[in-house]
Amino acid sequence: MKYQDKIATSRMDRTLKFIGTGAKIGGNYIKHYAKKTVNPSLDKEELHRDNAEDIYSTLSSLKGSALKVAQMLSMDRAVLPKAYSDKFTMAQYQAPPLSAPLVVQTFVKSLGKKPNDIFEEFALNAKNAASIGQVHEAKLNGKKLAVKVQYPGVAESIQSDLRMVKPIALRMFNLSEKDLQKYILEVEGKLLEETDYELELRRSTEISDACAHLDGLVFAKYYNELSSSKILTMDWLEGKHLDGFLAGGPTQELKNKAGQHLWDFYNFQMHELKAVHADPHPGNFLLQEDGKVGVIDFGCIKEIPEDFYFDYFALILPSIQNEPELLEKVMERIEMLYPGDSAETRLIFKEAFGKMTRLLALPFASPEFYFGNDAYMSEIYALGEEISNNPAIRNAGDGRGSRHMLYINRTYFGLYSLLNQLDATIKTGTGSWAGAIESHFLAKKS
Amino acid sequence: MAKVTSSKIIQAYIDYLLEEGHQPSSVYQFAKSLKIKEEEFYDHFSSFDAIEAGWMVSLFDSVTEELQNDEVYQAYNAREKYMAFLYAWVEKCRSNRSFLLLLHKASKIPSPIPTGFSTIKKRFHDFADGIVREGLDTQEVKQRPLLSDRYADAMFMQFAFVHGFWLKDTSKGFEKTDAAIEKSVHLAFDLMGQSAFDSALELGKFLFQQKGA
Repeated sequence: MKYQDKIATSRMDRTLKFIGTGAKIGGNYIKHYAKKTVNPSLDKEELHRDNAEDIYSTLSSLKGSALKVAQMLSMDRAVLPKAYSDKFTMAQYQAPPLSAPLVVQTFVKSLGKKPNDIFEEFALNAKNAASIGQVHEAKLNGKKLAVKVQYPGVAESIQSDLRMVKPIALRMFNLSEKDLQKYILEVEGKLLEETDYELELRRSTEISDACAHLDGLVFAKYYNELSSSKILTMDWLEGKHLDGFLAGGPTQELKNKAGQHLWDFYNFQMHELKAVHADPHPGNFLLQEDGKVGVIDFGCIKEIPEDFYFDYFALILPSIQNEPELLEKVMERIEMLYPGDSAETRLIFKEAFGKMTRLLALPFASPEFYFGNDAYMSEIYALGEEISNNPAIRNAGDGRGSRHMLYINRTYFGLYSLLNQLDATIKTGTGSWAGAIESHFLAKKS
Repeated sequence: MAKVTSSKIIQAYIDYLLEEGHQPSSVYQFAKSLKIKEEEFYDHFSSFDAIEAGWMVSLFDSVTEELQNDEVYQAYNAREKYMAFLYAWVEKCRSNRSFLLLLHKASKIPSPIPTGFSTIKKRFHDFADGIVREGLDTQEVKQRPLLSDRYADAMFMQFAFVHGFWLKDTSKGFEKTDAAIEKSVHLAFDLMGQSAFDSALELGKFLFQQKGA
């Protein structure tokens, strides 16, 4: 990774950076077409990779959380082809590790005691970095614990980062200020929530209690008395991250099993809890040898509002897709269509979103689905790209889709891509929730 | 009547200053409010300023003493030891913040050195010298002609900077001070250790020698 020696701060600096990127992307296209005249079979993927590289390096010089916002928006608006999103998975809050004295100081400040007065053993050197802090290994009553310590001043730096991302996002996503604001507020709220370890503790306890009956999931116990707004103490979970798990050559059966646990976990959260762990990236799951899945990091939880829940999942049900009037109403409520749209615009968006939702809902349409099918994943990306490159859509300049969709879509993207990497076949289909949604709308109709 | 102790006088003085916002008008009046004779006051301190100086010194001593008794501190390297000192210092200052702010405001001459720091300079020097010596042993700090003798002076300026930063810090839980300590100590030790600075010096020396040849 390139060494980041300076963070662009002044407005002038930022503007220059942005112009720089624009010019470079133009250059990449020229390079692409020049190469293509020599080698006509050259695919667009390489071009995208070049572009992604440039946008990525520009955005990443803007610091962690700014990057995260850009990442969220890009995923949702599918302005970034596959090459981009691969790059963006690297996006993280970047900070040098905390010094040992600062770790001790954080303990003294928030728990009133030094770590070695609390634990039997406490490793002052962090085991690994969490998104906005670092994880230490500790031992108490012979039990291995994971202690997360937050970097100082994270919340403030997130706020200042977000002020920087706005001018860039405006140009990048071709959105009006007002429409961008609705998404930025959503992301800002979630990012700030992540800095509140007390909230995370409450939520993880709630969710793990509610999901305790689900098969194949392992949750850490959290220790309230050993935690504060800056420190979070929990059981140390065993298991491997996805890469490590796959490197161990698990059988197909085991992969399916682990994948099924994940799928069931998300299904339950979406339809029963109506609150989901909205950060399904590989770092947040530990896969164990028997296919059980350890879930860590409950920093990012999206609560699904009731109305939005019905509208969102109605879109993927064929019974509702076949009711044009109802479908249009739902799309309006979910802000995919606006009442002021011309008939022509309406048609374009209806078609585009219809195509996208049908594609994304494909796993639900059959009782079983093979996520390892790369063709399916590329089709999603390709369609996203096609939509974002459609001039009529791109020039509309308004934000389509409710702000709640941001994190729910992200969760499904993340889940699909996890299952894709697991190469798993999952028992999908729709559950009893489909009937509940159908009757909800039928009741409304009458 | 029980004999008055230095710490009792210091505490009464701090209380007076915090409540009244200024020094007592005379030692006589202050002694009276403490129900002691004026000469008893002079057994402990020569003036009000001497109380402030004494207080600062005892604050400093309590911080270093605490560190010396801490097992974890003993295991730190020089850089971490110095960081730990600064964290412990601001932590100690926290419970006396009002008093320190008052002292700071009362000082008439604007100076980069916070009020009262001159009284602990000698002690800090001894402490910092110990850290530098340890750093030299472990190669964390580089021996440089002339400069190495001034390391403690530079650290004192940095200590003053951190204290001044903390006085002005309005962030929640003084988080920004934590970040300032972290970053400025890293910088200080990066400068004192083998760095680009030495390579530049080497180059300068080399070029100078070429001139002479």
